[in-house]
Amino acid sequence: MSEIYQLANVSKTYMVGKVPVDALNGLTLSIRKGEFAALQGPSGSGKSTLLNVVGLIEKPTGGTIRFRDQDVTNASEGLLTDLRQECIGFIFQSFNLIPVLSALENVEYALYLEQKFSRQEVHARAMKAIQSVGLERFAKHRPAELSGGQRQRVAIARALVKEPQIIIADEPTANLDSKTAAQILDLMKRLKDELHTTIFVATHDKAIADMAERIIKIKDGKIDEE
Amino acid sequence: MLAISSAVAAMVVFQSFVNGVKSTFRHNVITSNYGHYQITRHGFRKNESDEPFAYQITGAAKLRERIEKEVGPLSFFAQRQIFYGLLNSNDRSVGGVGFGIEADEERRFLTLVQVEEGKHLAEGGDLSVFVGYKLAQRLRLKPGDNVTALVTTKTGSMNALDLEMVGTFKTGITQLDEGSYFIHHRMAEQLLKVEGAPIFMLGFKDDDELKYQKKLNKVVADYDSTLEVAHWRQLAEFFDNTMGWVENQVFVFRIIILIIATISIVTVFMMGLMERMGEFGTMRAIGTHRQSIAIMIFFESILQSTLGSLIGIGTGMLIIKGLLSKGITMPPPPLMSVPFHVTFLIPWANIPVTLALCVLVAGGAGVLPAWRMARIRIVEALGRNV
Repeated sequence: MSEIYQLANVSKTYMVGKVPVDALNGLTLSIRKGEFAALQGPSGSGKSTLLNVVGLIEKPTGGTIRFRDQDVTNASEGLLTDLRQECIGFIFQSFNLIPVLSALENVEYALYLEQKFSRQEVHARAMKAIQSVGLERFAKHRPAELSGGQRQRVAIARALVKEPQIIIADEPTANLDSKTAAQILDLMKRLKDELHTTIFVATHDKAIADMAERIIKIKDGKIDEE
Repeated sequence: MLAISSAVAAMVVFQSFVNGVKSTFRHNVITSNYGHYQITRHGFRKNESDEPFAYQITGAAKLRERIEKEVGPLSFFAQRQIFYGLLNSNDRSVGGVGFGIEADEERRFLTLVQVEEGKHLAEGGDLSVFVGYKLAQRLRLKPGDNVTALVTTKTGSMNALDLEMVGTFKTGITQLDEGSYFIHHRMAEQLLKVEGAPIFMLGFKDDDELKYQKKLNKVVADYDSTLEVAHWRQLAEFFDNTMGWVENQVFVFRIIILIIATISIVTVFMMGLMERMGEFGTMRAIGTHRQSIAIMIFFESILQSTLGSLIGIGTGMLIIKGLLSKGITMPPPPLMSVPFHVTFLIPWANIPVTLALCVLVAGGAGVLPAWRMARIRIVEALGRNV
């Protein structure tokens, strides 16, 4: 398998007031296409920062990032936005749906951004994604009218509808009960098996870790163990 | 949107008040002493005090007939003789401006000349005098008292006329109420030994007198090239001065409203956007460009400001037609002596400008929040999701 990401000696320093805090500290990591990698580490170890850097929503303060063999370390904000739009699907711990849109519209919005499909095709694809997560009955419901598990399934539908090359998930089952968490896991497995999507997920959930092909442990902003 | 609506409603109500003041003040000025137009000979206004009788015009009936035939229907057409002299009564003499008027004609149109005490000149006999109420106070006159008018005639000799004071009037114009009196025009001709009058006053039946101006000028010039026509605003300069004063105040008031509204709108809009920061963070994360976020927010602000302005205009109209439908009584403006009642008039002509201005200002107030929200740090914004 070729590599979709290559991170070399990546660091990320935040200023907390006037004090610099190193969230990533010379981290080197490769993620292969189609692999299911789980990221684990204690709180404050740099998991979320690594996900943000890999998701191209944060730029590192040092090191280099190559995405699909392209150096994106100092890429423009516009290019990074385009890459996020076309190649990356996000599943957040707190779902992050747009509250004024229905479940279906949330999914459609991700496709509208790409401007590749007609209105009818966007609708058809979004409906198919909603069906694939078993929410067709709730397509017109707004996020506030859905349970936590249903919201997370909408978020998954939004991530998968554009058939991204990688899905980045941050504790996707953390706010869910065990039964719903199992459904979400099934969905992620299906994505991996059917679409060969790369999945990079930060989790404390043993079930997810058991399902992953690779477990990456992070500590103090560095890879601790694989 | 409430901030926008309130600001627009305030502007509409204030503009309606100004329109009401303007309309009432205009009506008062026209119907107190000026009519719509006055016809005089060239040079009369400039040289009247030096040669008071050198500018007499005759043939009033003929000119009236031509104007009615060629310009438009008249509500009144009257000759006016102005003269200066003493009024004497009760061992007191006071200088004043006398007017020889065609009382029946003027009474129909100059409705602001109100009888304060006694009766109107039109109801009195030939030897009647109708005195400004403050002048009457100075002379301690009461209806029925005898008064002597002492004047210099056209030939330079002195002449006197014994008159009976039939009533006092109040026009609201301080200058008239304090120092003028009216006698019948025919008696003024005898007293001053003149024919005709230096001023012909007229008023059209239609209150939109400006539409007749061009034709009137032409007809009068054709009738006699030594005559000229003056619009009431040329004669009552204080009207433009007073309205300019009011309009300047309105301008300042508008600026203050717009500044307060802009600050309120930016603050309220920013607060609303801060609540939605998580939403924008999500949109940015999944691939929405900065400029798309900025454009979306800007259009939201335009939409909100348009809706807010329309609601404000509607609210303003409701306030005008409801709470303020009876109008309000205002203290006398400069050079007037009586309070006047202002009816609030919906400022139809100003509404498109007010709407455009408010949409522009309120829409413009969305630029800064839009710019700021487009530049949010995605990670920070994502953390705002509930």
